[in-house]
Amino acid sequence: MISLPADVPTPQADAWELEFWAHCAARRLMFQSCAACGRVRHPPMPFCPACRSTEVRWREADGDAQLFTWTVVHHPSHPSLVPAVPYIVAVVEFPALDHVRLLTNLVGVPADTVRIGMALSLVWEEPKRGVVLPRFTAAGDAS
Amino acid sequence: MKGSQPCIVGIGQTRYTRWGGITDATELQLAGEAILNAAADAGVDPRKIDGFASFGDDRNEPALLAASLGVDEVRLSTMLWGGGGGGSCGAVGLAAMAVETGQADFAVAFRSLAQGQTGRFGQYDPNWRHASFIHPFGAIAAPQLLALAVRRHMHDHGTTQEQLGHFALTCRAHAQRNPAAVMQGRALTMADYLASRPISDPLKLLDCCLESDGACAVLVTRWERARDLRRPAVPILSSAHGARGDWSSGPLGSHNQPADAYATTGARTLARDLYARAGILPSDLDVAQIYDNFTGMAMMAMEDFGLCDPGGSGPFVESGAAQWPHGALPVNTHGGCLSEAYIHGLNHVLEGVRQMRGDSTCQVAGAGLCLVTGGPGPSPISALILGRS
Repeated sequence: MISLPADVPTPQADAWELEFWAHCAARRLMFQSCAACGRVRHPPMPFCPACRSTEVRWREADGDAQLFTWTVVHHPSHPSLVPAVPYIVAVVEFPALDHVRLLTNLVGVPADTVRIGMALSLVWEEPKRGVVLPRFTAAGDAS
Repeated sequence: MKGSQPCIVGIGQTRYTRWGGITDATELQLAGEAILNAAADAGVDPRKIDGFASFGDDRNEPALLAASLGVDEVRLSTMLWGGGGGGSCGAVGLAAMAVETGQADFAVAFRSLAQGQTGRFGQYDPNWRHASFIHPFGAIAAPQLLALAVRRHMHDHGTTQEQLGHFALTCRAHAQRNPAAVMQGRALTMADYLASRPISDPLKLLDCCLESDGACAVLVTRWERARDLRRPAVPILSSAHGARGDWSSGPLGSHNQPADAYATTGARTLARDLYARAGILPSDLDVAQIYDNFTGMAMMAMEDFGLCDPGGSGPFVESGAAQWPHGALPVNTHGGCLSEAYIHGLNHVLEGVRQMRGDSTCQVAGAGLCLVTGGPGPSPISALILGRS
């Protein structure tokens, strides 16, 4: 299942973001955390905002993902999205990782069943060779 | 008033149209027209304009404007960081800082748009902040990104679709009295609002601001120069731009703004400082011009700036409190970005000045204090408190 077309703009990551996407290519959703104090942060940034350390330890988001907010997009803002509407853009929160949030899509979830706070499961999609994106579905529905 | 007190002494604008509507003048020409209109309004010789301030990726360079307008000397050439209209009031604040400290005598803040010629703001931009974390998921433009915050506000506070509609209707009603408003002559009902097509729910077409062509300019100088000019000086009682340090790209980026301020504009601390420096309370305000890129975002700004309780903007607009002439605190008396024009909020500053001069088309009787805000969503955002001389 590929939920958005292959010609939707793909990550154009800078050096700080590259490692996030490299982990995604290996199908692991990893967030930057501080090797000194443990604080998790996203998007990647050069210093820990809590202690200014530059030492990084990547931590995997394994389970415990909740829907923080969402929208059904009806108006395509890019030519590639014309055949895709309507689709759901979501913000997912990871309570075990300092409540860091990821903007993503909900896939395979009818809009009338979406509820803020619902438990979600990670699904990987590869719209283009080498471009692996983390998306989410209702917990228990991952396949 | 102290001689160094910064005051707005002139305002200027061009015609406002739908985006792409102005084809017979360039953006630079429109900026110049608005600046010359502001100078004429103030009765200031354009040669004496020595400061230029804009915001958010303005395309019109002061060096070229100054040469074409034939000014004697450029002493301020500056632009506030941040996208969109977050810096609308901040640009006026930069002009105010320059004149207050004596670095410039007559500083102008301006915005000019001829988007049919130069491209629409807010379209797909590969250099958007944190683009890699939003574009691949089909979050390309502001309505998609900010709808997420508006949805969360509804969840947290019970804000309803109809309450968003009341904000849109309030702006549209005010625009009916404003001959410059793009939407004059196009009255709106709640049924029209509810029937408008969904863009990114809960935002409908009529929750989104216009896209416009046109230009605005605001001329600022010190009280010692202002008091003898053509129009009554409007003192800038305080100005502020900024945001919480942890706002980052906020709801226009990765949505990792602080949890305790997620469904806000991040402006509560800025607002506290703004009022303190002006020596007033929100309850002292007579009128407010709130940057309305989207209904729900403007409503969050109303909460952050203390026009109503946190989470209380829905009931506030539903009650009619923001409507001229009978509401307790009329908001966007020109029609706002939703119904006058989207000159990225600098048109809100012009309306604030008109209210303080007593010549708005929706004049609040005896108004003496006006709040103007810029740009909910990004960092920095900005605001002004305007008074009467």
